[in-house]
Amino acid sequence: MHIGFILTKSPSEQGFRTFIDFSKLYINNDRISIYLVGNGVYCARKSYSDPDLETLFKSSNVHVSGSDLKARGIEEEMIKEEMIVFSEYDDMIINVMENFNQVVSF
Amino acid sequence: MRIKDTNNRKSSQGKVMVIVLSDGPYISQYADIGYNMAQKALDLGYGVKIFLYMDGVHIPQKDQNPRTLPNISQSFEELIEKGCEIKACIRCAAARGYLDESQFLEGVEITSVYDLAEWMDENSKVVMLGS
Amino acid sequence: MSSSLVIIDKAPYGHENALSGIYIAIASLDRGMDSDVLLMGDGVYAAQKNQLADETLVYPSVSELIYPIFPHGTLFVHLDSLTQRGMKYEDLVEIAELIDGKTLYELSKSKKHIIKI
Repeated sequence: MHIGFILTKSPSEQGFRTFIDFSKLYINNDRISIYLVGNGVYCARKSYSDPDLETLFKSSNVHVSGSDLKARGIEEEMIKEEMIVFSEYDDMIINVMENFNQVVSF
Repeated sequence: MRIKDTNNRKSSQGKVMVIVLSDGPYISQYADIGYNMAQKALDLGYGVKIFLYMDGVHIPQKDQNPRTLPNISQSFEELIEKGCEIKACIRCAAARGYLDESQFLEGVEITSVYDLAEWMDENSKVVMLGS
Repeated sequence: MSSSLVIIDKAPYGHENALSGIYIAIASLDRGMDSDVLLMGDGVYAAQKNQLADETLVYPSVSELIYPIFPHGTLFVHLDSLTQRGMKYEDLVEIAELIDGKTLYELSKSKKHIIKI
């Protein structure tokens, strides 16, 4: 199964822990894609470290909104390796509608 | 009379994106994110339905005049013109003083959460956006 | 028949979300969907028994509002969230059903729509 998560929360916002606790259920079981949008892009920062998040990211395809990064002064060199920066929502919408068996937003 | 782009109501193989918005305009980025997702989904030929829940019912209020921010209601007006269906929860709307649609953009309906339940069918994908 | 899981992770009364999430589940069940509620994080407080919000806050008691979900839907309470908050099963309304991670994974996979409110 392919599950997609849309994360809009920074690590210290309410709901982030729920995202971690819920999404980790799928690690090693299913294909996981994560879209970091809005404040969710703060999770992409290299300087931010959370063991649960690292484990999750290692098991997932992670996409980060370029416009949200730029808005927040986060340059691409400042984000974790192997993240895919996107500028338009096309792929996210197509993935949600065509490729994800489930989509959950946090 | 505003002419809606009804062609866009025909979704790509009947697939519909349902977006539930629970934050009002300007308090957070969620209305913008919802607008961006809806606009792109419509451009790609999907049906889009937006359910305004809790403070989300403030989004389509007429006569918004944000001085330094993009006008959210105008953005959502564009979505309606492109064929997006927008409904607001009656419980949430009434609680917040919207007793009928007269204070809303033309085309926004006040309805019940039972409509959201009906939208959550086999052909839809639901994205909930809010704080 | 479509199906949904409504995840509530905010405590009741401090935010409208618990009430609103329950209404989505009730509406879904009414429309013939297979719908359940999962209380996770601070959402587990919504299942605390003996809530008297109707008396003190003049607000619908969330623990009473939850009952119409039963028996066609299930009120799941995330076990880890409960124990992290020092709560026990005995603190909860009787229709609450504890769920661990493994069972939650199987439940989640079975759902068409998962809404976190």
